[in-house]
Amino acid sequence: MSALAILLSFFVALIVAGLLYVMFIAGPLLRLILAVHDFLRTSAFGKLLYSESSHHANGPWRIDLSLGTERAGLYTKAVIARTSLFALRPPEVVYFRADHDSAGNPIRQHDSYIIEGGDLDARWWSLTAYRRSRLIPNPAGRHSFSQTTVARRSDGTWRIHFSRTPHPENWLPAGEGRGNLALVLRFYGPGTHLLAHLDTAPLPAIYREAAA
Amino acid sequence: MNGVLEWLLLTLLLTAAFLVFLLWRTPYFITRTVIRGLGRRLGGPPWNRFLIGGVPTSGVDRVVRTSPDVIYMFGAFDASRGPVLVRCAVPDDGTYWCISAYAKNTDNFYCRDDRGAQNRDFNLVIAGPRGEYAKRGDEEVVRAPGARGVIIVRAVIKNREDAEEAARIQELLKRTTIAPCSQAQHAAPVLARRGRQVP
Repeated sequence: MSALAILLSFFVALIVAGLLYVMFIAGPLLRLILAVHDFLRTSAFGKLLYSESSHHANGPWRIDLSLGTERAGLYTKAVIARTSLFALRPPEVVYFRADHDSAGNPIRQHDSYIIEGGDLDARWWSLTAYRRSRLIPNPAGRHSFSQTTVARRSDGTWRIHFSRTPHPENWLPAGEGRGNLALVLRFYGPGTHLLAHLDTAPLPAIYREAAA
Repeated sequence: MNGVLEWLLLTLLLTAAFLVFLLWRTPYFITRTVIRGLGRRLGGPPWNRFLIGGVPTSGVDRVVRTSPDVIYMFGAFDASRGPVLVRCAVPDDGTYWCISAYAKNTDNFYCRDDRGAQNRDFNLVIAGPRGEYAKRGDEEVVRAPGARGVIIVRAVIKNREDAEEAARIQELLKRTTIAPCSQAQHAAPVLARRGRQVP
């Protein structure tokens, strides 16, 4: 093979790798390649990239227990660095993330949601809303509710209204815009029951209230 | 035909190699960016110093997915010239507090919270991978996977609207200091200029 062909191969590979990297990391095109993820996970190359069986799903909530650990693969570490930098490793804190509501639809900024739950199994917990992994700007300056700030009903349960428009009960502002949002549920000092039943422990439900 | 196949194979292999390299370096690059930003905010070298943040809010959340209910104290350790001593002051009023250390690839290699700490005031020594340290007392010694990395002290603020609570948490964080073991004097942490300030 000529030196020119090798040089060309080098540059083509560099461009393709750059494109693949953007697809993997930047997010918007990630869904397009989800179909090949399952195949990749089972291959030797996939094992280098991903974490080993550390993902759990519980309703709309997802958790990756490899967060912050050496077990995380190269791809997982790169994504963590972009979206959850300097997370604490379990069992110190566990982080559940929801990009979809309980019906499986993406959480969108222009829709209104009700998040319902009760006491959660942790020393302290908080529920925070993000857009592109950043706190959402809003005039109220409110980004979260927590064990100590959420107003409970007489039966001990709580309901958070996650929407653009204010609500008298536990209003979590979704800000202005039309993008997709994410919720992160943090458990500081999670209980042993939660840790043992990550897939089934009771977690808040997320319902879409109405399209704006 | 064979030449084309060879070229495609080479391109494929190079693509895979570049992709793995990019993924591998991403956490290092982001950590380096964060440490450089820390240095800019501290107004000098970032190593073995702490910066206390204000109450996190949108626009000043410098790190992705910052918790708005936690006041953070960021530091970067450098154990390349010898171990680093962190004097930790742990709250005794039930406030969730923890100190954690990260390698440059973002692995969280150490974490101790207020309930796990044996004493309200304890010393943590961070030694580099090849650094020697002779244990002197009841200090906790941890060997970092690399000579440099990040330290974060977190304390939960139970009500972020409460300015007095925020000020109390900042005062609490100020009592944790960092310096090389060889250096007797520990400099006080620096308060961030940006972020929602508290009285």
